[in-house]
Amino acid sequence: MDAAPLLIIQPLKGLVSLQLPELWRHREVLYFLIWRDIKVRYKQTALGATWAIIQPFLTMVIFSIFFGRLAKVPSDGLPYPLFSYAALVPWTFFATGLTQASNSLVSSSNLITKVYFPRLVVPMAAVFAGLLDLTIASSLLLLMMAHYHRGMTVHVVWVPALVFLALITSTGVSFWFSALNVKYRDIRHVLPFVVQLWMFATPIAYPTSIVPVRFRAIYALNPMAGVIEGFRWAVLGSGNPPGIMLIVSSSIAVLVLISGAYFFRRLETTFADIV
Amino acid sequence: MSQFAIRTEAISKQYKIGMGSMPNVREALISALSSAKRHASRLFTRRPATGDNYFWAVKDVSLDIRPGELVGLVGANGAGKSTLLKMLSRVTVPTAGRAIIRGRVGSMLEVGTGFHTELTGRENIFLSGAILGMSKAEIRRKFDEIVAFSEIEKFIETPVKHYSTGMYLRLAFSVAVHLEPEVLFVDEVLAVGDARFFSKCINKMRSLHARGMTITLVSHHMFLVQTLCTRAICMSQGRVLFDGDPLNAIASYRKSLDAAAAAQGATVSTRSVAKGHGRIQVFQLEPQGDWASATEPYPDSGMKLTFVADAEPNTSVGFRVGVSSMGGFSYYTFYSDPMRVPPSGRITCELQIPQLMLLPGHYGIFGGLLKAEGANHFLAEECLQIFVQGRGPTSVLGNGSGGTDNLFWNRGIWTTANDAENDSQVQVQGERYR
Repeated sequence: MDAAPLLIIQPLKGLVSLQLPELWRHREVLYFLIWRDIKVRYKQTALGATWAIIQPFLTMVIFSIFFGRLAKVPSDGLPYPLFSYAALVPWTFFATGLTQASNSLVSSSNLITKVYFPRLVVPMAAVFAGLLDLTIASSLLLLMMAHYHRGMTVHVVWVPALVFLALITSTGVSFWFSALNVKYRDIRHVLPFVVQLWMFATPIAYPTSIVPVRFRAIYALNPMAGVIEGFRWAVLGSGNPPGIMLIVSSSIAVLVLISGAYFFRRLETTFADIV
Repeated sequence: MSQFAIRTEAISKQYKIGMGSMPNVREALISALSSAKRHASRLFTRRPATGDNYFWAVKDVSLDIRPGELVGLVGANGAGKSTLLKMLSRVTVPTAGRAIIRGRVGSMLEVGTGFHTELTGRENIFLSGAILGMSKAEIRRKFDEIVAFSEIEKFIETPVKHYSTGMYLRLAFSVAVHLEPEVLFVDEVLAVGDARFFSKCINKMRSLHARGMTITLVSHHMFLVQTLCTRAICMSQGRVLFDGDPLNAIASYRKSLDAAAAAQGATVSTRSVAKGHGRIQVFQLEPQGDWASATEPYPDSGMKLTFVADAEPNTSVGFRVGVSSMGGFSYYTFYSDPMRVPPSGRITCELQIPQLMLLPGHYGIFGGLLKAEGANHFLAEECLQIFVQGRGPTSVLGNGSGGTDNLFWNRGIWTTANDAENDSQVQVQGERYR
């Protein structure tokens, strides 16, 4: 009993700490929440996990018709369907994760009011669970590459790092949105517009090359721009390696993640009372 | 410094009544960003506020709970019991004061925390177990035990949405009860399932306690608090009203309820329920024996009850008298033979109970008037409360474990070969959970 840790419960004073060791101790909770999200996501759907492919695939078809065929948007010399699908795979991961995670605290209110664990794991689990969908959607990308006779380049080794960048961007933004959503349910209504606007601010339907050079610096502030450009380059070998852009993107993503985590921790103590 | 498992120091929690004006998003964002400058808005720090819109759910509660104690928290709805447990299990943050807990904490504030209806029983055991604080290895080790305890072996691969309520509750409870923290908080969740399962849960609590776990539980089941707890705390309006032995805590709780009811102009001790065409009234309650003895361990108490009832003339009625705990557990029931209601419509009847055999405490007496023909249904019922005094049970062995977990006392006569005249009182373990 002497070695038993002392737990002190008191009102929040001064600066919050992220309490990363505690988060680490609860990694199994994170694991089980991810596992639950994956198990439940396609329960009682006729098409099951095929949905992970259908969503980006249909978007690709629509983009190919309207942007590729009708508007004749350039695609860095790649077949337009391949060009857009290669961007939609990481984008769908990001956007779905963001949407799910932003609502995650509210939909887990029964947990939040009844049991203690670091709340950060709730939005994290919602984002991480999307990794399976990403993998499934990637399989179609491989088929499309075979269809268009595009070989894999060695740059493909960068894919995990790029996925990781998308992951921390999505998680960071979700920390902000999910915490705010507990108090302001407005977030839920604002979110679809945010996601849509963000998509058009990211080189998914068009290449970065059509963005005027003087705007490129601002453009790179969008971490997803770096992710998408990098992903295309790594998988399809198109364009130049987006070095500078990725450095900017990564810095922003880390900044969003850390600030989001602090903001989240700051609001966390009120979750159970107002959710 | 005395050893403690849980210590609270003037812990308090304030809530806002209703939803006041919302700080706007911009305000919230700005104050969050500038929190380093220590002028975060109330949204973040929840500083004590004043005004009519605020109330204290828990106010200045200071307690020391020693390791291995099994403490019952009693009190009316809204007394602050659950809020206190929520603060101690870190679900919500105190507004003022603090608490210190020594040891690993587990809490059961709800049955089925973390359960997902789409998942199977097996999957939910892992999910809920992990959320409640068990490691995967621990769950795997206890899996069979959990399933056996819940008695749903056959349905373990079925999604819980197809379970009956009872099955769901049993499984959920089984997971929670296999948590093995050093300090456990239990909100009103023990009374799940049927009577047999309930008894199993109680025994589980007992064995956890016997292993040295510190348990704090909220219950409205006075019977349970009386028989299970080593100590009880009665709360009222966010404050501690009484802290000590369970019997007196329950008495304090009863008193606070009575006071609340009296404030509303109602009387709690007797109530008359008219169901159909009938009326029953306790005309006289005549205690017999030594009810108020403060020296005898067991009061030698009997009583005579006189009833006056009104019913339809020339019908056949019967009386029923039940003695029960304040928690509603029936101890025993007396039925009269059917009798004919005279043309006046008024019937009197007397019941003599020579020896109640009740331990000191509060009890309910239910007098009922029944229709003797056809379906056995009530015409009227009246309830009154009695209080049996006494020194309380002690053991002749002098180890102090006099057995608060008994329901009755009875008189027994011991005989040995060399001393045939040695008689003493023996407590009889009643059939506890019926």
